[in-house]
Amino acid sequence: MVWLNTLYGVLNACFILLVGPLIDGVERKIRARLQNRRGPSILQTWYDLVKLLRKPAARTGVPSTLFRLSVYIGFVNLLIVSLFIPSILCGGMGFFGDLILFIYLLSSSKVFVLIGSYSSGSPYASIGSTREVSLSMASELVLAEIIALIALSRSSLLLSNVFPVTAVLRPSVLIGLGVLGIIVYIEHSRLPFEIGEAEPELAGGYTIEYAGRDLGFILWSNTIRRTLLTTFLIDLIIPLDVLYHLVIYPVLLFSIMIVFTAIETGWGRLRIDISLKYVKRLSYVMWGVILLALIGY
Amino acid sequence: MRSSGINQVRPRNKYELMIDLRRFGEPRLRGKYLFLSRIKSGRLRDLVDYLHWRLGGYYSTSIGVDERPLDGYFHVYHVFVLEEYGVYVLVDLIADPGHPVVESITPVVPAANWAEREIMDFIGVKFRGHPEPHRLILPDDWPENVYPLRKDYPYDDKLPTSDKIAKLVRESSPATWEPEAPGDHTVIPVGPYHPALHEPEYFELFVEGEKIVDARYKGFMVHRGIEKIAESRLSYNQVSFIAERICGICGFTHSTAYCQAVEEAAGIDVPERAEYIRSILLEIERIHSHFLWMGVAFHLLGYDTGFMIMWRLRESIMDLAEELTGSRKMYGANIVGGIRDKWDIRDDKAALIKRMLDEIREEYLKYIPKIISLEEIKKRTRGVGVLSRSDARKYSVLGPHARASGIKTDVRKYRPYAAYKYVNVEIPVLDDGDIYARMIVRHEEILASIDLIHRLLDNIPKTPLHADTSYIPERRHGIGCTEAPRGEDLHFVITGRDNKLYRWRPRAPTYNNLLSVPAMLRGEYLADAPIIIASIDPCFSCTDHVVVVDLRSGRRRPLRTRGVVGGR
Amino acid sequence: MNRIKVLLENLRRGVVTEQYPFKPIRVPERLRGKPVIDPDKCAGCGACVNACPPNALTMRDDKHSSMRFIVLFIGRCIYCGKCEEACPFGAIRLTREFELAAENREDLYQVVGLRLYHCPLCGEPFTTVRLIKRVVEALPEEQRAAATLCPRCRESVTAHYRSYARR
Repeated sequence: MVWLNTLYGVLNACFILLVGPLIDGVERKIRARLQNRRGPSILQTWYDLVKLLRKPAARTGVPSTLFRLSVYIGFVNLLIVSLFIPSILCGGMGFFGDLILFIYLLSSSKVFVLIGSYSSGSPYASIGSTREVSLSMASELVLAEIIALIALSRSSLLLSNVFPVTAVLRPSVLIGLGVLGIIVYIEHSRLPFEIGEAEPELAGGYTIEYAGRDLGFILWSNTIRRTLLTTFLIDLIIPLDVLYHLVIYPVLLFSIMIVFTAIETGWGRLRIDISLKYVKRLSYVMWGVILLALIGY
Repeated sequence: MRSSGINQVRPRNKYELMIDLRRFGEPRLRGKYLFLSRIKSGRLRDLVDYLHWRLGGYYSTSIGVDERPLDGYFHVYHVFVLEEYGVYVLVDLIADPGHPVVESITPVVPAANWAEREIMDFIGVKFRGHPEPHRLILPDDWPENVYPLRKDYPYDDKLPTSDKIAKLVRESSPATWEPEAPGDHTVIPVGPYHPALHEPEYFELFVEGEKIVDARYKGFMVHRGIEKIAESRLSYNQVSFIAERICGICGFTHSTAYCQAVEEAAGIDVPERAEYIRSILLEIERIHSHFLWMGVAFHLLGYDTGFMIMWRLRESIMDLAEELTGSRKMYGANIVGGIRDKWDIRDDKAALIKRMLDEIREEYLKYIPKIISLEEIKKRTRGVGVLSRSDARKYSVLGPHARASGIKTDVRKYRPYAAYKYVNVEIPVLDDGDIYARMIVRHEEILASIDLIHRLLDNIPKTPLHADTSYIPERRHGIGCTEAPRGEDLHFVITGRDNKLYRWRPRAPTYNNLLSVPAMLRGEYLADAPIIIASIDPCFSCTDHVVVVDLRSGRRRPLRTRGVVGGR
Repeated sequence: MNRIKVLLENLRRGVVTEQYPFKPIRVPERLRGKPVIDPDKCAGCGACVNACPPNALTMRDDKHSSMRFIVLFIGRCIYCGKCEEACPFGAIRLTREFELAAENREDLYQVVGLRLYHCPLCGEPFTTVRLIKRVVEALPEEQRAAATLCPRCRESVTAHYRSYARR
């Protein structure tokens, strides 16, 4: 059965790799329509990626090893996650991975890129990555609280045991899922929390020193990370069932992304200090929810 | 109000003012120009202090003129606007060609900083006591003692090749000047190319974390030498087209200011219908400019949906302009003495304008109250980038920027030109001095302009479109002022012979407004820097506009060593 | 919620952008586009050359081939329409054409060549054959002979008329 699980994992990973940029293309179309524009083709993100991946990576000065490798380490991290998270197929590598590993790989993929970018020495890159790090530190705290809640509710840290968390319907779980939705939104780095790239302020922020193939992989990683986070949210909701995952999962995936896009289109960018305040409030809410779970609701 | 010295009484009108000013020099009143020449030695700074800080006037600009072929001297004119008296006071300083030095007024009026340095660069008159007597506009590798706006410098002169420049520079060894950075802070360069600036300019921000400690501006990177071309090659009616091309957004106001300057100098009466058409087009341009600014502001705040909406509205305004003038932006309507025949606004066009403007207003009003009530827009504009009223006076800021800091100023209202003489112009003034106030001032102005166009169209008289301009006398001074979307736009001319200008100097409002930006940036968040810079609606091409500069530099050196407006 | 209302209002309005390069776009009746010289009407008087602010129109007399060339270079044109206003024959007009990108610099030029007219007395070329024809046609019979001379010859020939006129 190992080889079957491996096959499932590989197929899942392929799905995530392909569908990430496609979702981004759909989002661009939706955003355009909400702004009275015709918008590009839904394959546009793929066209951009293909073009970038074929270009050599121009690097300024003498780039450090960290700068050169971090993008790819981050990408591989995400690839591993997509192997063991059930997405389109309900299965994977026997769920040897647990929640902690999932969170670790997902956030380290981002941190690697940020550290690499910071090492370039460009002031824009350092400000962009500092902003991004402080925001994800704050939101990761909330995420950890959510993990604690899930572990409490299902008395396990194994993915195969926690999916779906909706099997135990408690008020605390429902609120926790709501907060997770918001955290997923923030981790997507969507407006008003898109402050690390901030084109009009930082000219691309942490991506500014990357070009060509490097930049292509960063953009690809970003779409994959978004898809994985949303997948995690859906996995917690829908039953671990082949049919559910084959039919309901993609529908939910696209609709969540479209709703997120619509929300994003209505917002401007917040300043780092204001956005941190928002995330802090969420973390207070989560402490309350955990208390609620502890007393059995 | 107390004035300095013996004279305790504040003059009541321009004639009393003229008599009052006798204690500083020799005044001469011609229409609305009060020339003040032969300033008594040591009295210049008292005079400037009196005009700018006590009489309620403001410093507008300074112009250097090489009048050696006429009377043997270099002249420097400091222009002060005294709206209360309805006069321009032109303080006329002369500099000896052998030793061209005059006293600087920058220590009294910081707003004069750039204008004086520009004269040092172009005419070669030195200013004694200037706090930063460094190059402003000429590039680093421009040889010393070559002054492009002197009359003996040929307009079609090509800069020598890079080897020769290097040699010239080596021989003259101009002292390079690097300003001291304030302490040990991270330097964030904004520009010369930056998504927040849509033109090549350079801001240097000194930051601590996300807080801005200090800021510097270095500019003047896009000179084209149009003043020299206008003085050397173009006829009066050709200059109005190059004047229009100073700016892609407020071009028509430049060409109007230019035409008015020549009309003033030559004493030409523009027919009323032409005045009305000028005003209508100027208001259309203002609406266009404010929509554009709103869009840019929302984009810088990250709210791209608002940006798209505002630029969609701007598109409608440009369609309107295209219907009227045949071009989206370069209206090309002005000639000295009036408006060109084909640019007449007939009744069918008038109806079209009214209909389109009503549609635009309706759509705009559907959106804007909702947009400016958005939480993140309010949080990032209220109390951000504040310019106090006294700072606004110190830097002589103009237009919506001044009106948002509680200064009641508008050329249309207080020095009416074109058809603004015949209608009442409403000007919104707010006291907050923050970005939100600037946004609201512009918002109110859009609505006021639409209203104004309606009233102008209702009263447009039937007269010819242009006056006879066959005779333009020589050596007359003229100032043309218009209220550009960004503030007072001033064109100074001296007429010449052979259907040509002797001297032309346009001064765009951003020239004054930019000086206030470092003061607004200090202590703010880095994230807010783009919107603060943009909140004055800077137009860098307007500000730069001058001198033949060919940047074929022999050396690779960043354009950083000079041309800096200092922090404090 | 205002931010939702803004988006709903947008949705109500629908798509406003055009598919421009793929579909033609409407331009207004009086768009000031590319100027074109009608070579049949142009007489080579040079009025447009004098009026043109950016020197997009230039004039060159080639004595060798005995031709006058009026050269229009679109690359410098600012579409002000001064030439159209100045032309006494309605030979140069602004069209509504605005898609002016070209692959070769040469495609941005229009050159009109006209035969030069030589003064019958001194033999110096001073204007074009077509212009002199039009001038002569427009003048009354008795002035025609003088008009065919170059300014200098005309001056010497007509000097005595003018001395009469002064008295």
